[in-house]
Amino acid sequence: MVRADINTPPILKTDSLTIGYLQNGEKRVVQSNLKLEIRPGEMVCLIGPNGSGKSTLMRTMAGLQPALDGYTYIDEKTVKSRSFKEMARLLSMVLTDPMSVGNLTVYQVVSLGRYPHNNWFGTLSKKDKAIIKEALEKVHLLDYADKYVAEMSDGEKQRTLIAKALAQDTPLIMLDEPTAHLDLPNRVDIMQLLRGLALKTQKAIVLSTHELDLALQAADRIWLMDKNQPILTGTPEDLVLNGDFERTFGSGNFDFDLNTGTFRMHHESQEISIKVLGNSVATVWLKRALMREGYTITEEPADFDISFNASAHTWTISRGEREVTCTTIEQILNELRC
Amino acid sequence: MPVFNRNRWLFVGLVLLTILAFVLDVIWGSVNISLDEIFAILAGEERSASHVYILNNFRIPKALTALVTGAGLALSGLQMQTLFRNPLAGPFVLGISSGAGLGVAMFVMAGALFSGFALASSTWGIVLFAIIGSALVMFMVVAVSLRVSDSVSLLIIGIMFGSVSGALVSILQYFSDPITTHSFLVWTFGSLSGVTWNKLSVLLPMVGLGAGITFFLQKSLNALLLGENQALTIGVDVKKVRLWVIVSTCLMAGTITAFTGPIAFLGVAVPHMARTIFRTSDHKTTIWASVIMGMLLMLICDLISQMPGLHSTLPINSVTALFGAPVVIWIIIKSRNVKASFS
Repeated sequence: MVRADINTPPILKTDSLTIGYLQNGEKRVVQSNLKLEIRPGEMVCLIGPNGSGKSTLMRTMAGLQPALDGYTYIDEKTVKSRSFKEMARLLSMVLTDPMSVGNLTVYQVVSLGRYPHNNWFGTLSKKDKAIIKEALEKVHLLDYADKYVAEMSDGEKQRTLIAKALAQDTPLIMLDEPTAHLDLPNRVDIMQLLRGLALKTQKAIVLSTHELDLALQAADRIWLMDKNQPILTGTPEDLVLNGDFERTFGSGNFDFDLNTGTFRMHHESQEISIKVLGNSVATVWLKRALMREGYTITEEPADFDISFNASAHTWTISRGEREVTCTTIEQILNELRC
Repeated sequence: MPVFNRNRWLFVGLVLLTILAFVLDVIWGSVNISLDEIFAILAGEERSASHVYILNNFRIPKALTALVTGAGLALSGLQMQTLFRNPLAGPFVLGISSGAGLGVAMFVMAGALFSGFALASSTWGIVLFAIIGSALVMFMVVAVSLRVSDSVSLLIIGIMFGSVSGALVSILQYFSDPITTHSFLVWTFGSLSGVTWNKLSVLLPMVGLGAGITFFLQKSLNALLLGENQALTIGVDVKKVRLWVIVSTCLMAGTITAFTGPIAFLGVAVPHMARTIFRTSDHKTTIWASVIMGMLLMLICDLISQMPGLHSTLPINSVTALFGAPVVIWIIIKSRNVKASFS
């Protein structure tokens, strides 16, 4: 496996790109003066709140909607100057638009990826068939090839579309929210699959997502979008450390926890302070429960002390002389409420 | 692939059934001509002159018209359903039949108004005005399709054009005398028997041209199943494909309607039957399946409309709906194919 090399020329590059819409002859700018780059083998996650322009940016880079200003270069030539067919050989996309392919087999959908390569009637050559088979193998759907798409789960449907994009055999793949509507195991599965593909095939992959924690773990680079803010790019960890992440997503109701890389809701606080003794997994989860209830966790002498007895797997709450033993966190919370 | 083999046998079976229905359609009628006699006449032997005349000038052209009409309407419906991603779409959603109706209504009623109007009795006149009417609507729809970026808006605009034409026809009817209105109504019932060899020589090439365009669009139609944007990203020039689909549909449905009157229902129903029975949305299969099933269904409807024992011929437009609607309801209840195809 070769990591994306800083010396390889980018497969996609934007130059003073301005994206947005024309409405009644008036330009409605979403983002302007964008300078972005993607190199082969790189996985880029595009994240940002709803309405920050993730889809607009992708559609503009793909040439599905005109840029208000500036250029996107794919393989050293502007998107504007390329035909649909040329674009289809450079860039494949997985979109969330409604489809009517339920009555096609997985194989038939994936074979549509060969559209820009085969003849007028879509006849599949030996080479086409080999590429389709390889694509199905990469997304682990080879055994499902003859199944109808309508019979597949949402995760399998998404993998079918990714296989279609792979069959298109392009150096660049863009996916618009590929993990939307999927449950957690499927979301992780798709992200892992895409990350593996970027590494193994040296394809450049751009995807938009709302899965911040997954994006932080899987992306080589993150493009952070926000309304009325210039786009921020960088390695996920840098964006976390310099506070960009929190600035973009933080709000009155929650903030970003630098220690855990997750978002923490703000809870209405109570005036009661608690000191948790001990240092185990159990105490970490107890602290989470207490924070949710709004108690103040402290290392100073507090209203309550709670300690964990690892061998008996019980908790002891003590207030001065009074001691109560609990076996579950739920019991503790009930006890504290009294 | 087992489905492939199964479909091949299914197709062969349908072709045989269609041939059978064609022969029956030629034999049956108010005058019965036996099979022996038909073969003898076709072989060129001397037979009853009236039977020869009936066969050559009525039965065979009518059965051929049923084939052309069935295939053309089914193909138009198939393309419209794919383009609009709508299971209710049919050949007439773009207002083609209403346009043709408007043309015919204007012709018939103007003919009655100016009593000296020589064309009034001519069936060619009706055909001509039906073509003008549907072509007019078609040009408007094409013009709009070049400006509108999504197909759903186009669908609504097509329906609006249809409503306007329908309203104009109602107004014309309101101010016409009953006799004139009646002759317009007769046209709306639909009829296959009015099509002579002369008319077939226009109908057949037009429908053939439309069907040829469809055939060349099969790969793009498959791509459209992915949705228009997704189709764009695999290299389909969606606007161009949409234009060709409209042209091909207007050619087929427009000409057929002009010659036979508006034949409802078949164009909507056959594509569903084809997808269900052949278990696929792949246009490589559904194009051929729609052609053969459209032919077969139209022949069966024609057979029913003139069943032996009936004193007169039923209007074909009623038969297609009376016979076809229960078939479609049965298919939809039996399988969940429509949902699989369109969601």
